[in-house]
Amino acid sequence: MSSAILMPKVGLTMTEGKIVEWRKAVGDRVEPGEIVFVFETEKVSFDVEATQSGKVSRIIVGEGETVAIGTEVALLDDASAAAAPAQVAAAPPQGDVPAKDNPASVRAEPAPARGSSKTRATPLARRIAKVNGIDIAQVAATSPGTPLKKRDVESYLAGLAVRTTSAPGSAAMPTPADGRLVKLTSMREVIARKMVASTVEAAQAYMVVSVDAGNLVDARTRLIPSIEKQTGVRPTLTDLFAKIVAVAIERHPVMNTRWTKEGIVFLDAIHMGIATALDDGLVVPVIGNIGTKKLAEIAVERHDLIEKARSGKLPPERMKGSTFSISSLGMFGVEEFSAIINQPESGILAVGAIIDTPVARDGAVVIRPMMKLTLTYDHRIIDGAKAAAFVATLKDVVEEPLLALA
Amino acid sequence: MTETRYIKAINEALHEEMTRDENVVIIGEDVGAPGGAFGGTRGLLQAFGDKRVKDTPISESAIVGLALGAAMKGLRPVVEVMFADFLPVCMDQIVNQIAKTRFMFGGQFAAPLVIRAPGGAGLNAGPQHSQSLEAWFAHIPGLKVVMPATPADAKGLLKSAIRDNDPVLVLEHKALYASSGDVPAGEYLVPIGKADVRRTGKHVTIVTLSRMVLDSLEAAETLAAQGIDVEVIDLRSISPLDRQAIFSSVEKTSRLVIAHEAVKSFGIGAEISAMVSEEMIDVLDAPILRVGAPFSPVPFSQEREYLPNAADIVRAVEKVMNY
Repeated sequence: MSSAILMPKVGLTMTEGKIVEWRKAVGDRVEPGEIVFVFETEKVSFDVEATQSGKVSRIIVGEGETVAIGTEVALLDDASAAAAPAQVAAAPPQGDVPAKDNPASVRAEPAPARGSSKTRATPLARRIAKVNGIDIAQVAATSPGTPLKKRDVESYLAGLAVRTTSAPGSAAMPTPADGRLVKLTSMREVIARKMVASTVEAAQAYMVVSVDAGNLVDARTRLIPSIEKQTGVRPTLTDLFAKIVAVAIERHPVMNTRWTKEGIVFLDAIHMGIATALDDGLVVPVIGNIGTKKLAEIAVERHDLIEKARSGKLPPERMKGSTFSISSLGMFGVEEFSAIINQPESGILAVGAIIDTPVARDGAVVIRPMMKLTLTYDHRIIDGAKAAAFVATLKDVVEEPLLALA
Repeated sequence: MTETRYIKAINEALHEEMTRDENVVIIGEDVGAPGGAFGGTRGLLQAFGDKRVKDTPISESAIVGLALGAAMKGLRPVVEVMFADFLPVCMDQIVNQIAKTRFMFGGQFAAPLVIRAPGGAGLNAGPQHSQSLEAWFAHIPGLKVVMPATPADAKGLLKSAIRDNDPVLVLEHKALYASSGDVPAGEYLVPIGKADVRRTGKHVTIVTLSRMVLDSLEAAETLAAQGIDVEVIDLRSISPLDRQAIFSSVEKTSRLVIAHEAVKSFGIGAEISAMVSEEMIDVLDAPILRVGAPFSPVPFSQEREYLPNAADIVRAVEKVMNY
């Protein structure tokens, strides 16, 4: 008697997972608690442990392949056969993949349970699913809430198509004549999808301002000893910057908005996304309720998030819900650049390097540590004058951080 | 093509058919010298004489029975019943006799007659002069039922009805009598049993008839401004029903709203909804919604509030689009 190990669902929006490593081979025995395979979703990888003992009899989904949640990835021969695994294999998963029916589970994060097990779908959605040989329940897992309609199934199928073209050995895969092909990671796919979607969705406009960063640098220098002693973390310019931007946003609530079909939502809390480069990609960890946090708290939280992100262990929910983002490439010496809005936010601030620059002050040329800030804003919501007012406040507060207390 | 009023188009059809075929005769109350209660038979008495245009007493059952006998003997009577609300008075003749003649006589007799009757509300004519009873008649095998929405269809369907070898009930809409539209001059036939796609669209199909065609087209304009592309099908004939036109449209749009002026319960909308569910449920991406009048007699004082209108249709379409 064998039971199927399914691709689990972690987090509300997970639709598929890519198997990055099989820790067990066919013929290996597994015991509860042992890691069977590792998969990655969007930007994070997870270890999957066995929840029952048995022998791996077949690996269905190989390393590097991406499959929808609920897909059988391997079969486990179950000597005790106490559970009814045949049933698990035969019955299509309804909604989330219940942890108890899956002989493997994700360590640390059990799949959230969902109420109803009956999939609501229009007859047309069901037919399209059937014609394409997919289980409507798999689509259900990706679009909870209203009944499944044609567009839900079609977007699910579109996802499958994308996956098929990037699957190993696929005929549709482009083969570069000369050069080296790097296969798409889940993270790269997410980045690509989000960036393109953002440029299609929002009316992005840009505004650049030069600010004198002298006082900001001073402030940080003076704060370092106390915060480092208190927390063990050195506050970065980005930490200070995140706090200061939040102060400016508080004075210009239109920057903290979201476009919806019904209208523009002015959000109460500011959750700051901090775009962070990794060796092979990009993540945007979120400092929630930044307006209420002290610099020391921000520094500790940012440090912790980025450490987790670099080791691929940042939980998806810590990369969600930001209401405004900042992106800094100053450390690479980049003077100025423009960033793409992190949907569904209304703005993102691109922070350039601090560079000693000759500027005119009181009729004389002086050398000042200047920095260029580029605001990308969604012109559907924010008009040029509103964006300019925000930028002016931002300039004031960066040039005189004490104003943040005013 | 000339701009003609709906009632004038009917009058034109009668003139043309009486000129074409001397077996076409007119029977009804006030159809002679007064030219009909709404002017449909105006000028016919003068043009064709009192042998072919018969004024009758107020006796709907006798009028329709007379027409049946005349039809069985080879004439092609066109009866005017002053209000469709009076059709129940002659229901036995229509349902038990006229509709069954061809079947009862094994095809040796037919009943090639036309009953014209104005239905519908909109003129504050009260509960006994404003009903939409088409579903009753569409339920009877042996009767054909048509409901023109435009002057051109009023002419073309009436001419086809007169030439049809089976009894045809032409339910005109009294609130449309004064409406105008282009009507082809001379010979113009609209086939019975063929619907008309009055507006093409890809998101949702509205199947409608009679006065509600105008409301549906108005609703379609409103919805177009929201980016919702509506297809409007004017049934024109209720029986036989152009099933293929409905199926083709729903196949394309996957969403269906049916709009009629009659009481929603047990109406034409219920029939079409059931038919589509039976034949093609797997193309539907939202529930089928009906727009119709509430389950109440047509009120005299609050007719406007009672009648389904374009806003009701817009709401129904939005509901299926947002399902």
